[in-house]
Amino acid sequence: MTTKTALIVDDEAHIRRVLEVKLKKEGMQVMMASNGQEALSLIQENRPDVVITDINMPIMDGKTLCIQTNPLKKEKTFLTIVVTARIEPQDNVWVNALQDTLLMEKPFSPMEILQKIKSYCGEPTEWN
Amino acid sequence: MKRSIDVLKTKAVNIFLIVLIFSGLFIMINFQIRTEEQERVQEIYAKGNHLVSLIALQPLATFEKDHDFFVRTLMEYSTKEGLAYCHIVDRSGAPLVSFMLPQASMALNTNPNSTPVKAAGLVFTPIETTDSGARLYEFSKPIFENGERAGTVKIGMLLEPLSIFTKERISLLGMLIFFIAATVIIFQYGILQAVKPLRGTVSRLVPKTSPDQSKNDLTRVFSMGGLDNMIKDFQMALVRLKKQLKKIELNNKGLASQVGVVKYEKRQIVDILNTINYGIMIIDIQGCVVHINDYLLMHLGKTRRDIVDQPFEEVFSNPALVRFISQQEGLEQLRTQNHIELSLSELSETDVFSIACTTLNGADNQSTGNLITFNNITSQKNAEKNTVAFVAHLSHELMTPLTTIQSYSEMLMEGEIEDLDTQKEFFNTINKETKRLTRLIKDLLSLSRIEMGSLTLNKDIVKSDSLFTDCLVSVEGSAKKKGIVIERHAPDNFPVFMGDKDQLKGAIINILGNAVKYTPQKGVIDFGLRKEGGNILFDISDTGYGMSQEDLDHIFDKFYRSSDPKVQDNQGTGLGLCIASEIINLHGGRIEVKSELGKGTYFIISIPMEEYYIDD
Repeated sequence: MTTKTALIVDDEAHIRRVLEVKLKKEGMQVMMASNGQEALSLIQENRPDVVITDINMPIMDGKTLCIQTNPLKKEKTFLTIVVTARIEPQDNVWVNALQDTLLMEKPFSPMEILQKIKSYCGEPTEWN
Repeated sequence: MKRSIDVLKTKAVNIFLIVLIFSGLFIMINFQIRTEEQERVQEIYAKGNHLVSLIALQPLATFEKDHDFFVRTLMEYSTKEGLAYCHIVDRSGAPLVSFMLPQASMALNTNPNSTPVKAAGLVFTPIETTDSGARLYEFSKPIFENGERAGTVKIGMLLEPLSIFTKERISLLGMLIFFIAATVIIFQYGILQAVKPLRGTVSRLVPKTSPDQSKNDLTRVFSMGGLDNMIKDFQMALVRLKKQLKKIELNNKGLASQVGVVKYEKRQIVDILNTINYGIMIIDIQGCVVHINDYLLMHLGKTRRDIVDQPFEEVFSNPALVRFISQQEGLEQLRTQNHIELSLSELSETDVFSIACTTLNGADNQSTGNLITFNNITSQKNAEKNTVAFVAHLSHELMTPLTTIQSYSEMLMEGEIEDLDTQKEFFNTINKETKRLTRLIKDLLSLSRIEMGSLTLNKDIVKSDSLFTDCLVSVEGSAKKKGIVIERHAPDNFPVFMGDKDQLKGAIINILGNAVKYTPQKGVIDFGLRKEGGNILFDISDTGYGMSQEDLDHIFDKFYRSSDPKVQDNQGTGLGLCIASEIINLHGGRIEVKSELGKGTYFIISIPMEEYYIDD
């Protein structure tokens, strides 16, 4: 059994916290970052299986993070779930252009996020 | 009666003229015949003399020797030159040569004036013939040989009567008649043409009783007689002409005033076009500038003389604009857009213009050119961008606490949080985020009221000591938690002023609260109140993190939050300072702010002290 790793990227501590609780409960290893810059370093070092990121963040936004990490998926792909308060038409364009990337609108439920992860990675019992 | 006399006179004159023309023709022809006759007689004299002299020079023996040849020569001569006869006799009177045409013998026999054959010297005698009208001219000359008279020669030259109706004469006559007739017709036509306008004038001036009467008057006016009537008519016409002239002058004055009005209105339109704050250009169908208003000239930095008559593409080089304008010249249904939004380097590097084009039609509904308008929509575009940014930011600000509340409550409801401490933490978070959402909505409502102009101040007498203390109390708790000391700087006598205490309290607490929020633990905040001139001043200074110049430029903007992590770590809507400044502005006051990174921030709130009255 290999533990799946998730990286939660959001400038809101409460959002990070609830997802942390939810994913840890499912047996996932969780890393957290409050902006894109921090997340980029963590992805390059740890290559997580799932990245859940907000778009609107200080220092480096989620869009830049996704674009910069997309080439890394050539070696080993991972799921990126992009969450945003308001989906603009152009958001669908750039998200669809990236590999294994999904777009979700706030407010989201932790269960919904988990289902997306499961549909991509399979049930936790299959994670090996 | 008078009319019939006039007509008769006219006819007589016409007949007289015709007789005069034909008499002239007759005299002219007669003169020409006489002249021709004289010329013929002179010619026959010359010929006769020449011939008789030529024969007289010949020796008599020649006539005997070459008699037949001589007679043949004479016959040829008779047919060519009109020789009628020739008699040559010797000294004794015996004939040597005798040649005569039959018609000549008849004339000689009946005429007693014939010259005797032995006449001495050159003689010539005209002999009138009676039957054919021909005249015979007789020439006689002696022949001398060896100094003695050897014989006599007599010849007769026949002059045929002059025929009037020769081909040449008839053609000449025809030509003359043709030219005279043509001259008369052209002359008459010329007169008619010259008189035509006069006829028109008279027909307008003479009162219209009936068509016949009018015709009679015209006849009367133009008849050759009746000069008195003509003068009278012309005098009457002159009077009416003067009246007409006065009418025309009046009309002219009316027209002149109308032209004046039109010119004035045109000037007004041009003035209006020049005062409106968007560009107007009119181009003709060739695409050359006909009119340009002051707004465009000012932005182009050129004079009207530089632009007018220039092709449009010389003024604006932007290919998209030139293509758009050329499309407008086509059929209306082929137009793909009715305006275009562009930045034009000729007008401004940064501004955006909405350019519309309308076809101008003349009276015959034919295109006379295009009216092009240039509307600066930079601020509108910026406002649109700001609105989009505002909505995006608002969505984020609203959705973030909502997401937290929804996800936390979902986890609790699903029983996924078993640990009691975590449960407590989750409930606390839900509570905080609900308060945050409530505060945000309240701020948004306040902002909305301010922007809609519906936020009204409930002004009353405000006791500044009460306001000062209320503000202090509301932040003391949070300051104490951080070990921050708030130093009071209050006067002995607190002033009283007019204002909305609740709104002012909200504004001051917001600034004072920020001071607590952005001052590190065990820092110091100075909160003071003073009166200066007619204003009451609240001073709030801290020993906090301070702000960069970039932050200082935007702290009163809606939803502006510094990217400084120390700011990001604290919750805030980004609306507090914006609302506070609006409330102070509504009181007629202002907020000043000074700040330095790492040293602290100093706010001064200044509110004018209005006069107040206490009701008895």
